Amino acid sequence: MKKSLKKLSLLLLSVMLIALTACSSKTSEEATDGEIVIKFPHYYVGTDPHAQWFDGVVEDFNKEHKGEIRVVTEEIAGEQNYVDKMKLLLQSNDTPDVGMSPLGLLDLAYEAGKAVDLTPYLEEDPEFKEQFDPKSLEVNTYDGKVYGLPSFKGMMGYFYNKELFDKAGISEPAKTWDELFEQFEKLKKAGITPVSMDTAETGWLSSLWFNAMIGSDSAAGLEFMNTYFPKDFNKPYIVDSLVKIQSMLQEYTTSDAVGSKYDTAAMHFLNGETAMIANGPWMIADFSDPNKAKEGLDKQIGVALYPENTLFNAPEKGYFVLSKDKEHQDATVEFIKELVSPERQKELLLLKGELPDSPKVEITDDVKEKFPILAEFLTVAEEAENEILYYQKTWHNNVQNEVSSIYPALGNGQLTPEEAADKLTKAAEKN
Amino acid sequence: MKSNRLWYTLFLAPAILIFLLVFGFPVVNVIFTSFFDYKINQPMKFIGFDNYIALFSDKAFLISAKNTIIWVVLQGTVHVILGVAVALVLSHKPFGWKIVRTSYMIPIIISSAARAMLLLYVFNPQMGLVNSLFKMLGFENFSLNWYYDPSTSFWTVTSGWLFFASLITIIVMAEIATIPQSLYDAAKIDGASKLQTDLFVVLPLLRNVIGISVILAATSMLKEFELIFLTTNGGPNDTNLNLPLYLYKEAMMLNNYGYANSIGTLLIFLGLILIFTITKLFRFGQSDV
Amino acid sequence: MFSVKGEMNMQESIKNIIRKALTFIFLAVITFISVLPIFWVVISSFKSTREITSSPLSLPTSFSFDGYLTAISVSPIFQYYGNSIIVSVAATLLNLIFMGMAAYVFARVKSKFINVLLAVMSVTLFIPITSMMQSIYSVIEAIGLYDTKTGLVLVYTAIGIPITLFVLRSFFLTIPKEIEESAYIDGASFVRTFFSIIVPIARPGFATAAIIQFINCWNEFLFALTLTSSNENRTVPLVLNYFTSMFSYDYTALFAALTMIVIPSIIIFILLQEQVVSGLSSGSVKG
Repeated sequence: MKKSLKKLSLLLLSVMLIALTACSSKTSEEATDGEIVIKFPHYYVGTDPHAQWFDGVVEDFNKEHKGEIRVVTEEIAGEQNYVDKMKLLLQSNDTPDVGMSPLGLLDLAYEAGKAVDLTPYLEEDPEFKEQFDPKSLEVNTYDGKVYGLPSFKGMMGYFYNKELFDKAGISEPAKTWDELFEQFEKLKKAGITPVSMDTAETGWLSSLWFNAMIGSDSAAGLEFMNTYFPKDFNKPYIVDSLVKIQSMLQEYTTSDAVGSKYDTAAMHFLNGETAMIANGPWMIADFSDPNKAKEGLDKQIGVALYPENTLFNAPEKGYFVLSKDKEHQDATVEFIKELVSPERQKELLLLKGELPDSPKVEITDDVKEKFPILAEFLTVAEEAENEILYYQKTWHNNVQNEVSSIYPALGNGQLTPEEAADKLTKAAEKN
Repeated sequence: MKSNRLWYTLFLAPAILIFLLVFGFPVVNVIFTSFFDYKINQPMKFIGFDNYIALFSDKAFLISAKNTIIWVVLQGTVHVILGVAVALVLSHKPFGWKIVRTSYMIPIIISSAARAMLLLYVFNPQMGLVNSLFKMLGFENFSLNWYYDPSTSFWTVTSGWLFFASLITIIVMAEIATIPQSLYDAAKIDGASKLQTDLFVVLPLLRNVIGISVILAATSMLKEFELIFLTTNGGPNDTNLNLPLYLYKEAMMLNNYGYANSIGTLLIFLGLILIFTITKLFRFGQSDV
Repeated sequence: MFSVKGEMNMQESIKNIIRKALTFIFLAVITFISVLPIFWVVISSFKSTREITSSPLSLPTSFSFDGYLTAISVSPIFQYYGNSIIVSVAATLLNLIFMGMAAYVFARVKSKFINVLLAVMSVTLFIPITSMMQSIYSVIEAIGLYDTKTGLVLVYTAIGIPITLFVLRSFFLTIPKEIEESAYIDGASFVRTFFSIIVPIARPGFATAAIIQFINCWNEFLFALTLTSSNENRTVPLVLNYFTSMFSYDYTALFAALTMIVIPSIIIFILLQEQVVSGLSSGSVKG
């Protein structure tokens, strides 16, 4: 008995040892020689065009600040995964130093009292403060203090296929919603599917149309689209817009729009099968990508404002600081300064047509040459009368999610527009 | 056998320790916080059974509970029967049985993310496999949005897991392997056909393992999340909402942890009830020999 | 008389043929719906993203290994691969040893307490991980195992508790007590009896439990994401999201990565299943 007990414990011990040694110990991320280590989880990874750019920024910064500051990144592929993990870290004692702002994360960090007030850093460096669009600083301000520093802004119209427009006898983009629906009808008669739409995830493409309809309906609609976290969706302009969306889903889009993700809807447009798609300038590079688009598609694309000269022009919430002590806060701000600097914004503009936040970044001729459609977009954008924010910035998380349940039900007739508006209200009230 | 008692304790100890270390606190925490108003960025407030009372007047919860129970029953019956049937057929080593066994396993080896993508393409109304087949058969204008048509949605989602019972198959096959050839021979001498042998000799011997299969299959539906989340996300209009998905939405979208944990606690109860009922039903734990 | 017998034989053989045909169709259907996914994944890894989204179910027009090259260059797939192997193998071994010992007790001891204990240890079968994530993170952080492979191994060993317990217990129940008793009479100790007599008999059960446990560890995503932060400790399921960013997806690379990820599981399955087959062919221990 004693002998076997010994044997058993020996066996277990060796198993444990193997497991432990095989699973070598924690990688050392601790500072050496007073170097300040900044922890930065991010989702600029993989096929995201940001990835290489971001790695470059970190590498340059670490080289330049060798011995003083070192940025250590944690790669989290997928925005939703990033948010889920950040929520968890925000509730623990082990918060990282920098946060990014998708899906209302800055609001959460601020409410948790973990976001650091960045106003002093802006005040002590006027040049730094000047680089930002005052409107975007406003978006990042809570209780009179700035918490987030953005580097780009979201501007969206819609793209259309000139060749298909020609075939249907349409000469130029619609000025009013009635005209747009007449164009839908014309395209349909010519055997062309008018518009690409999706409903999965948060129904990005459908939601852009939906938001543009609300924002251009009336002064009240415009105000609704520029309000943060609206609670009451039982409004005539919302129901009207849902009536339009329902008819688009039932009559004027591909038969697989209900249930499809962005990729399928985009594919139909990139294959030249649909005539219109709502989206931002980052899609422009796809039009000439042979892996994604029909050959020569980029030559056929025009860009337009939504009817009633409506444009999404949304200042973004930016990077924020979570460091606990002054030393780390200073170092983190130092890094963010680099990350959002006009030079870096320019790099992103050239890389993927991402519109910079800073008015200091000029859209030079080389950009226009590389992205002619972007240049066209910036020209038409000047005509905009209704400038609105979009749902991913202003609606509660679960309301964004709720639309992916509502659009299909509108499409298959399970819900009327009134019932759908009521469901959105109920979802918003849960917060 | 007094000495064995000590050994039994020592043999149980590591399993219990690992369980307590990893899950002890989390499980208690789920149950404990279900009695609190517990949201992110807010102090916790004890509210007794309020979360549970709210649940039973919450329409989305009732739909999810109903769907969950239907799926549990289907999985505990149809799924298990299919898995056992495949195991019995394969145990006779028909032509190509090893290939069938390995193939049948593949769907559960592939990650749910890939399976969900494939399913979406198979049932895609415009270019999907199923609709293409109908068109090939001559129904030119056939176009059904399987996942989003209210009449087919639920069953399309269900088909994503109902037929893939290879886990049951391999567990049962391993047990069939322990049945001595002499029993088969004796049945043959008595003039029983293969089918009769399977039904009246083999099946009764599999009582324990089938009971376990029912437990594993049924309770897996109390946890099923990814395939629904990645295909319809519970829609259209909550047709495919189940408890884990509803819990996820409450916790991750609304940060309403207390409420979400009351759903979690109910799932624990449901699961325990299932285990005890199935154990009674199959009288297992009792050795056959 | 002769003709009657002949007719009966005819009937018998027709029945036989129908039965064989039905079996064949049944197995063919099962195989078809099961092979479809892997076939599609592998085929897609050679198609361009445009082909995948616009004609998802067609064969590729030309073969290219670009997807594999992209997968390797934009994601740390090989590093994750190594980690996955270490973590999955360690968690499977630990799980089998400890749960094997416990399952033996659950099979041999009859008492109310033991039944309740088994039910309690199976709660992880039906608590959605979402509701435990935060607490498990706190536990792992508190014992200093955040961002270590050891932490993952510990959690994975624990996740597999109920399934391994159930599978092995049912297996131990089929082993007659007489075998142990005669071993005791021969003077073998408890531990020796278990490890050198019971475990070898239960080999098919261990192989089956190992397959299930390994596959579950290999595919686990949520804990891998939450409990690690550096690439030194991350596992292969995390790679998939590298190719599916909403506006810049690369499905060719995604399917190439998927193909690379699936292969080890299939190999492990085939190898371990041989253990079960050897049980099937060598007859049995019962009786």
